[in-house]
Amino acid sequence: MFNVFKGALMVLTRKRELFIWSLAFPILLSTMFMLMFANLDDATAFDPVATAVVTDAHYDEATAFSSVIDELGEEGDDQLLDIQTFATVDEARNALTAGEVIGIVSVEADGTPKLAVSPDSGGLGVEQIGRTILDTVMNTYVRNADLLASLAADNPLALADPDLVEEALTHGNATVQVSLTHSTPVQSVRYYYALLGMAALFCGQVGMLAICETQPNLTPLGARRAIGATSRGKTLVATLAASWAISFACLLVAFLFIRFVVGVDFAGREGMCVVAIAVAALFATSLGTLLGSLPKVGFGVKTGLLTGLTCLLSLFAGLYGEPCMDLADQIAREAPVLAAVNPAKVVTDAFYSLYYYDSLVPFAEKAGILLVMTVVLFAVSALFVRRQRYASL
Amino acid sequence: MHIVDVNNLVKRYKEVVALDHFDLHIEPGEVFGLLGPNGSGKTTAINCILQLLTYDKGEIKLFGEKMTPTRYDLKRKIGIVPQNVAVFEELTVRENIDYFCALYVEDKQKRRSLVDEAIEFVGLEDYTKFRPRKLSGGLLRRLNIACGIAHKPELIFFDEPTVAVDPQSRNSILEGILRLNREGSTVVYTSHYMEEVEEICTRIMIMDQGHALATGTNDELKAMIGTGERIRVEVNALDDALLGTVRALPNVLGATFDGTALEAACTNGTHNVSDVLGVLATAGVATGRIYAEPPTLNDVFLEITGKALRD
Repeated sequence: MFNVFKGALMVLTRKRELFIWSLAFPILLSTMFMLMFANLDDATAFDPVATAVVTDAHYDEATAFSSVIDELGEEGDDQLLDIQTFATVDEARNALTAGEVIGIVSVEADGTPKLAVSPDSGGLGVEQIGRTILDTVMNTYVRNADLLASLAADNPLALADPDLVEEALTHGNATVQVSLTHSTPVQSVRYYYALLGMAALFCGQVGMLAICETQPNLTPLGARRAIGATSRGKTLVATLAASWAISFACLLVAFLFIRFVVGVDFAGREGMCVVAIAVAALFATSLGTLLGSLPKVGFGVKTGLLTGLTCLLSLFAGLYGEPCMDLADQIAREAPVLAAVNPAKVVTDAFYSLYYYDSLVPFAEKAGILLVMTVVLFAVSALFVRRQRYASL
Repeated sequence: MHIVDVNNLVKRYKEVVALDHFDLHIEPGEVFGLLGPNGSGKTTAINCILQLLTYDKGEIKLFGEKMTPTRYDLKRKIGIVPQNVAVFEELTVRENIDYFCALYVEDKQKRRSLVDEAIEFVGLEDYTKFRPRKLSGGLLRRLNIACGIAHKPELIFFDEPTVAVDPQSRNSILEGILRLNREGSTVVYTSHYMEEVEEICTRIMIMDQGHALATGTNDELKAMIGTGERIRVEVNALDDALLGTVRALPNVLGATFDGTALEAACTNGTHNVSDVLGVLATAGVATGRIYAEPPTLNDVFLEITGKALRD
């Protein structure tokens, strides 16, 4: 049996046409996605809030406040403010009127920080976000400054204890931020997962081709192999094992490319993703086996059938853009059974379950659905491939 | 014990009867020829014997035991060289032979020497690393043969192995088959080329429309028919009256004129050529080249079925 496995592996790995859809296509498409989403990310990237700071004598005297502002304006990944300094309030106001800045930060004569912002034009634009950020910064500073002043008045020695100061500064925060998901949801990852779903279905070609070459009624090679002294069962198992191994390898390479070259987040669950790939490859093999074993259908027709099926099912998995993704979501909501029997969608959801949920149960459900479909497809295929003799060749 | 024993085999493709109560008995050590035109049932018979095809009726025994699809012990002793070249395009010559040999022989060491022998046998030593698409038609046929015989089977089926092969490769293939037979293999050889069957087969079955028309050695088959000699004389013209005179000669079974030559089928006789030439000379007909040939298997087929083998 090992010889048949080895032979099938050698034959299939040398069929270059198999790797166009199973390997080259997902890599190419994920590269295109990468370029597409990179522009999108640039468009939605956070820019520091353009802020005018009036650096007059009062500002210089408020050293605690000025050092906070300086820190928030320091260049880097976490830069919050894009500071422009002005000597007088009037100059800063001119900049605000001209739309060069979103707000003006200054210090009153009594040392109180002051914020002036541009008029609210409504909506949720960049300016509104900037105004909210500035407002939050100022409020937080004022609240903490008051708290520390009170602490200094009541218990001056407490200021010498950094832990106590830290506790005092965070005590007033009554809400605790918790994550409901395993990772911060990023919409674009779904397209890569859908792409893996499509690639999985395309891998059905491997099994399809392999099974055709074992069928006496489909190819002369199949007839010759059937005459050999190796049992039909062993031949089929070894051939399908080789098909699975190649499908698995193709999907794994595509996954590694998406993960490490494109940089798509899989929530640190790469190990479980490999399990998902193994299950998806098994399903692909069963799909290919069923199509490959269909009697009285030419190989070209079978290939067309698989390609058409893959493209159609990928549409309902949301691969082709936002409207399709919305359609896929709508189907999942309103006709969950349809979504559950769409293997492209199930593979996509298996990866998304790993990414989104803390629990592994949703992933196990998706993997279970794929395995059940695999068993059903293999069972139907068995009706065609188990035959030892044929009425005609 | 017959090595192949087929009794009363009936195979139908819907309304068409491909094998009609077909019997076949082959002794060990024979080179047995199945001769018949395309569609006569030769390949169907082989596919039924090898259990690739279902059949409606009959019994098939190989090596004295009933053949079924799962008799892998029997299959281990059988080799098949199919009509269509059936090799993997993706594997080299050596890998292909090794793959098919591995369907019968699991031991890697043993297989290595068998593959070497098969390569040497078909003369593909210089092509072991070639993929099939790089081979000529003749070399491809040799590879097809090597894949079928590498495991040293006791019984080998050659199904029209010389179709579309150049004369040099054809001779090489036929010599190889005789060598295999000398080394102990029983050979079943199907062909619609009567010359090949006459050349290598110890016993021949003539088939047509699923029937076994006649079985015997080359000489036995030819002795079954009335034709003892076929005379061909090149002439420019021949009128019907003169053709009638030739036909009226005592030993002439039939005569035809195709515009360039007179052809007369005669019974065994010592003066057939001189009798025919005498008629032509008397009529003043100038003759060109003259041929006199013993009967062929085509004559046998023609006499039994009323049509030529290659019709």
